[in-house]
Amino acid sequence: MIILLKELRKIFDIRLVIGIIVFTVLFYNMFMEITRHPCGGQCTDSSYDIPFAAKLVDEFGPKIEFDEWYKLENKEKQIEEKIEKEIAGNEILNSNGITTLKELYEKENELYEKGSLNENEKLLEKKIDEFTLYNEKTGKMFFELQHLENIKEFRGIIYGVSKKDVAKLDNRDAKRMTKQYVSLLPEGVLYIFNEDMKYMSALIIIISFVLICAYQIRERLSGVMPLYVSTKVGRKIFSVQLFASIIAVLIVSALQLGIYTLMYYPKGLAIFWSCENWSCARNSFLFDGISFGTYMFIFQMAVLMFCVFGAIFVYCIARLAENYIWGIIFSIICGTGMFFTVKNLTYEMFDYELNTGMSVYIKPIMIVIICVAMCLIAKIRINRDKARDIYQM
Amino acid sequence: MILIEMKRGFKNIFLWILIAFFLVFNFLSIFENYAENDKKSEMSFMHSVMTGTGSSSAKDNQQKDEIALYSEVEKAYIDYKEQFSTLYDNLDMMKILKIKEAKTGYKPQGEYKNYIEKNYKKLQKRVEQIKKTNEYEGNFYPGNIYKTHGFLYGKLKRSLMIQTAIIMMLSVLYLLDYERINKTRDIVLASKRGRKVAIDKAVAGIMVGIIDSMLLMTLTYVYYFINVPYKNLWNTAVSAVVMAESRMQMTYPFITFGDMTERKYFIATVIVMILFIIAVGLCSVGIWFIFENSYFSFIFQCIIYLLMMTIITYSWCNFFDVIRLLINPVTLYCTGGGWFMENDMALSFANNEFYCLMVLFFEMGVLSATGYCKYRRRDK
Repeated sequence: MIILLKELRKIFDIRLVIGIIVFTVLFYNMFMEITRHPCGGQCTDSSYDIPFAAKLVDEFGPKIEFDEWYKLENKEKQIEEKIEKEIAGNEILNSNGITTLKELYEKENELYEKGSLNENEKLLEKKIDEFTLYNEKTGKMFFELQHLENIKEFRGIIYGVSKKDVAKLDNRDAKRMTKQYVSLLPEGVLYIFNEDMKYMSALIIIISFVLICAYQIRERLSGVMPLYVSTKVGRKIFSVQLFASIIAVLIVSALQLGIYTLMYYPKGLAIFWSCENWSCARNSFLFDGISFGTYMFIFQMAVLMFCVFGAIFVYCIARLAENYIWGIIFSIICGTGMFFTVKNLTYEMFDYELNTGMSVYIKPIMIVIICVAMCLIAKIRINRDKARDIYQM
Repeated sequence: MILIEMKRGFKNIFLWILIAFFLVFNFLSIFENYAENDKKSEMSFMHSVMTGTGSSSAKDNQQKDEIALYSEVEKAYIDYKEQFSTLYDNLDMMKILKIKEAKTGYKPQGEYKNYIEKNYKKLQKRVEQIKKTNEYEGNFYPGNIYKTHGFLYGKLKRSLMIQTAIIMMLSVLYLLDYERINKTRDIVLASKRGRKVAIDKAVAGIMVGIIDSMLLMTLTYVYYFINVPYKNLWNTAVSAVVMAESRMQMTYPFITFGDMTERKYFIATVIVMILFIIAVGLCSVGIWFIFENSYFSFIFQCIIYLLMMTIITYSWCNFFDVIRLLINPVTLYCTGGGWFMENDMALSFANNEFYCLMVLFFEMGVLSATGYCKYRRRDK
């Protein structure tokens, strides 16, 4: 136990830890969608969609039954009334004969369908765009209306599944996909999570290589390997080092995933954890009966498992490196391979792949197979180290 | 001594393995874009249509089909050229500037605004010059369909910049840290000549990095040009209408600062890339002299470059943006697809790439000199 703790101290060199903290902050800034939220473009039309969806969940709960549809309609009416007040106070629109929302839509369509516009019409079109899209107050209301329209539009439709594939659905799946209620989870949140888990895996893999390669190469360069090999107790230290590496990656992964999950609170996304794991625009997830929070947990556990068992592979690679430059080169090559593997395995892992004919369980099964393979590699490594000869150094 | 160190650098087999790995990566990228399925034969066919070297007589039915297809593609190409032939007619660079400002939300103020508008007026004069000298004519792969410029000078070049930078860093750090890793450092440092060996190692590391990088670039570009033939197209101006690609939801031609054919543009790009990686090498030298550890030096450099990439997005809408971009070492990477042409609003002046390089060399030179002074003091 003492040796394990000392090995962990060697792994978590303070200089590397500081570098990793800085790197994590920069990585989040550059690649993670959660940092960019709310910005629009995350399967959303604007930065108002997801916060508005959060308000709906707060008001109506995580889902809305079809016989409660009047609540959404009332909400829509409220927003339309607010818009009409703004239109009434807008002189430019009023002077062009627009006094109600209906007139605004009609004028907008008229201008859109007209081939070429004169100067006045171009100016009016610009003013309408400003009112509906760019004005912070009214633009927000229009985007909220659009979000409500989207929920209404997809009510009861098997969205995300082609007509050809609908015929393939058996009764159980057809029933699953045509529910009598709509989950208020917006697709943008699913998108943010899926994209971020891809980059989270990359971040943990990079940190694993940085820590474990430095640790093993330092051991090699300090010349203690022949000492380890020359006694029975010394040879046992190799297995302690392997466990220390696994525990170090477990700590790093747990911290990274924990911090990521905690970020959902200040970003206002934690409210969606209670929603069912599907959105009105996308209901092709297999595990749509569970909550989004549970889905996040299962997904993160899969990523954690892959990274923790991947630490065995990282340790074996680091043991091969004779100097830091070799270690960096091995890290780049092997790390890239690991990243592409985990990216393909975890991206939309539980999405119901009707069109590929693949079992939906294939990706989690492959992760389990990889973990079992890593355990075998660890066993082989430990046995080899036990029987190591000094001349094999 | 430099030659001995260079030999040592070339004997590092894992660096060659890394180069091979990057090469496979680049080949896959080119294959995915221009060689997968029938894409390669489509590119050769397109090339023969553009250069007018298609077959004119049919010996069998297959050749008759080919001739029919050739005529069809030729007609489509002529229609494409005609459709884009009016791009220069109403091209107004001031309007482009206004649209860019609106889309990016970048609002220059005061004298800085006048400065940018002055640059764009110069670009408008360049547009007039292009129209006058008929530089906009010329055959090339249709830009909006094949996006050859965007791929070759954008995506592929950016990948190569990162890869060659890594190779340069590792070449330099391997040689500089060699003595420390092999525990011969104390012996080497015991003599005056030995203490100066670090300079020889630095020079040798940079030379090895340049040669390895050039090898990677050469093989990558050879594979690219095998799949995307450029024969008889090298004299086409980069400002040609047919080469225009959509960017920022606008389709307008590439407005180069000077008369640049594809050949000149390619050579200039390669020169800037080589100078850039030399600067990266100098940076590695400087940082190693400070840390005296190849691992921390590499990680520190990666973090610094990532930090620079993060802060490049922050702007102040005044002259400080120009200074900010000139002193940032990753500016050349970020402006990757738009060297020697109208691109970033703050860098809308000719030869901005060379100004960036000059400042970069100055910074890295100061860093290396400071690092070496610290290193020398430590030994005494």
